[in-house]
Amino acid sequence: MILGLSCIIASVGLSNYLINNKRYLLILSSALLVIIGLFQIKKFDIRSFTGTSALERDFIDKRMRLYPSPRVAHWLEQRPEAIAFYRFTDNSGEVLDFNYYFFANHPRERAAVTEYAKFPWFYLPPFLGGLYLSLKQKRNLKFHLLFMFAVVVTAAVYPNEPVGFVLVFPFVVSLSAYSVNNYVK
Amino acid sequence: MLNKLSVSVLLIFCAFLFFWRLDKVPPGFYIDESLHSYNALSILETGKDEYGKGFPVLFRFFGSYNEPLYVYLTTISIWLFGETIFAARLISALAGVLSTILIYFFMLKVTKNRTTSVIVGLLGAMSPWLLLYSRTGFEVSLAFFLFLLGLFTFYLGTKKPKYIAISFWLFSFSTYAAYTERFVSPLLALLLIFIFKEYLFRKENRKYLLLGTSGALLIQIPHLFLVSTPAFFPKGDLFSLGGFIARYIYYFSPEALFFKGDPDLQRSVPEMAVFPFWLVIPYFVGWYFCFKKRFSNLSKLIIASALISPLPAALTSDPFATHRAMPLLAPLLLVIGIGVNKIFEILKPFLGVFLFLLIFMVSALLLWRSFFVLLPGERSFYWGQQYVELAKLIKQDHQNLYLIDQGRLKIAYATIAYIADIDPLIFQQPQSLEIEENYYSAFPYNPSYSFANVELRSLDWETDIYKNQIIVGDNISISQEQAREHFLKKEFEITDPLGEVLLSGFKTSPKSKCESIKYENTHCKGVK
Repeated sequence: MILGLSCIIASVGLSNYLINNKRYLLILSSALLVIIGLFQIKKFDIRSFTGTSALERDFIDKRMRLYPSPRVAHWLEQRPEAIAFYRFTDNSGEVLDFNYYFFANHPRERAAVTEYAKFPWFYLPPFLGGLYLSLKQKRNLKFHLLFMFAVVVTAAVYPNEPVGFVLVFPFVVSLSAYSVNNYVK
Repeated sequence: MLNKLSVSVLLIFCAFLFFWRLDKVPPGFYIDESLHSYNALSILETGKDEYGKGFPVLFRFFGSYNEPLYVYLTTISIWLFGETIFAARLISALAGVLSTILIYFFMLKVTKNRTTSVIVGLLGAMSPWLLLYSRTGFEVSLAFFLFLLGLFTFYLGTKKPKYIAISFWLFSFSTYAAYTERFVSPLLALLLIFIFKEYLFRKENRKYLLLGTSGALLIQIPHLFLVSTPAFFPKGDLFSLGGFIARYIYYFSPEALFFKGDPDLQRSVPEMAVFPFWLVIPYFVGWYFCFKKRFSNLSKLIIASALISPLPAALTSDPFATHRAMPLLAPLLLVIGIGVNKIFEILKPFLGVFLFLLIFMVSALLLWRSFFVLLPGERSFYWGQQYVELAKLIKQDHQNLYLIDQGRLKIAYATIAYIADIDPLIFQQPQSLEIEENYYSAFPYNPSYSFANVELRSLDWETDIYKNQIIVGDNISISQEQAREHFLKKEFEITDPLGEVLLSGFKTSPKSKCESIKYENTHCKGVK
């Protein structure tokens, strides 16, 4: 309930910020995004970033044998930093995937996850249009920095379904609304 | 002078990246590669393909009816270097190098900035999408080069109209290189005529348009003869309209392009997508500037080619088929190039070059890991390394008859024939005359083959164990229980670099088997 309300109010706040450029709206939305972020971080276990299952350890051990030098193999496969880096880039890909938001992750549905479209597919053109239009305005820099921050946090935390990448949703809504507003004008 | 230096740097880098261990990476010899190269050998030595058809316009292979250009060009490399994997992949690698040089010149024309053009050329070469297919002995890379050349000449043609004619000829010619270009090139040519109609139909440009389109039509004459045959649309069963929009959009998704890549294990590189992940930033920047200047000739060309290129691939049910969407690489590289150029303009040259060098070194390390360590180590099964090793064994051993299970394993006949140096005349002999006469009528494909001392078909446990031969299959084809029950003696095992058994060869022992049977068995008559 709180998560849903925060998400709706943040979406409205960010949309109005893009349209009217009122600073307090950005502050209000940022505060709500922090609440949403806290919900996600609460369930986050830092060990999931570098921890490996027995199966993964076996896989890494096999990989180690392929390298000409054990030291290089260790740095590229076994170091916790390397494992965290690969996981973060993998998660970033999923957070940046349009199909996750608009097409229920089709055609790359995840195993053992009930996928559903977060937004109707016809929201995609207004979203892309809104992204383009907002980037044209230099005054929207803070909005985009906030957007990038939300993407990075989501990729780092990687919240599970059914909530999913909820921190990004207000940006999708506000950019789509901004685009529609521009078109109507 | 600077231009020569830039091209030299690119050439040296590409020569290393595209030719180093060309016969070893990717590991093995994929069936599509061996089909092209064995048919090239067959054409070179007999003037006929594997079915005995003289100089076909489309190659039947196993019913796929592939475009002929790569096969005919490979005859030259086989003539020069013999029946080797290197020769089979040479034309592709050359096309990859030429594509990289072309990307450099294209970017130089667009940006007038030599530094960013060299960088974009290097990035193109380091893209696993181009690199993988350029080190693979089939048509995709060659078709991409012709398509990219077509785009480049069209771009030149927007300033010097005589290039328009060359561009249309190239688009038309590219349809003989790969199946995708057969759809993408004409569609794009039509769309470009529509978009640039004002310019193309100007009085002074009309003759070039006419020359280009009439030349393109003339080039299509061999295709036109076959357009009504089933051979012209052999892949109709792959088409699927359900979920088309999602698949189409996915070809532009950052996840597919920069983080995950092709889900097919043979068409991808471990732990790397089709571009290095950090290029996602220039990708977004590039699209932004492309839309900002959407009325410029370059943007129109990029947007038109990007919209058309993934259409055939998205119409199939594969989630992200990089071999079918290869033409898309051209506009995407241009978009990324525009992005890199803009980032350099913002960062100023010194900081830009420093940052690029840093990222370049990390990318090179990750590319080395994925391409030259993990790919040969983990994907040899998908690339048919087991059949290469088996063919080498068969080549040494003319005494035994080899029966290779094809009931559940991937088609292997062309790899065996090419690597084991089977004379194309011997191979062609058992082929049905009916196929040769109805070559383009999509005659049903028969996966059973018999040539020299090799037979490829499904195993028949009722009869095969009573013949003196070596039965070859994987752990599921021939289980340990079956080996014990039928007195099969293990002759060899073929393993991958991690020690996983890919194929095993078992020698039959009809005498022992017949002695163990208490009742009369017709198959044992004559067994000594």
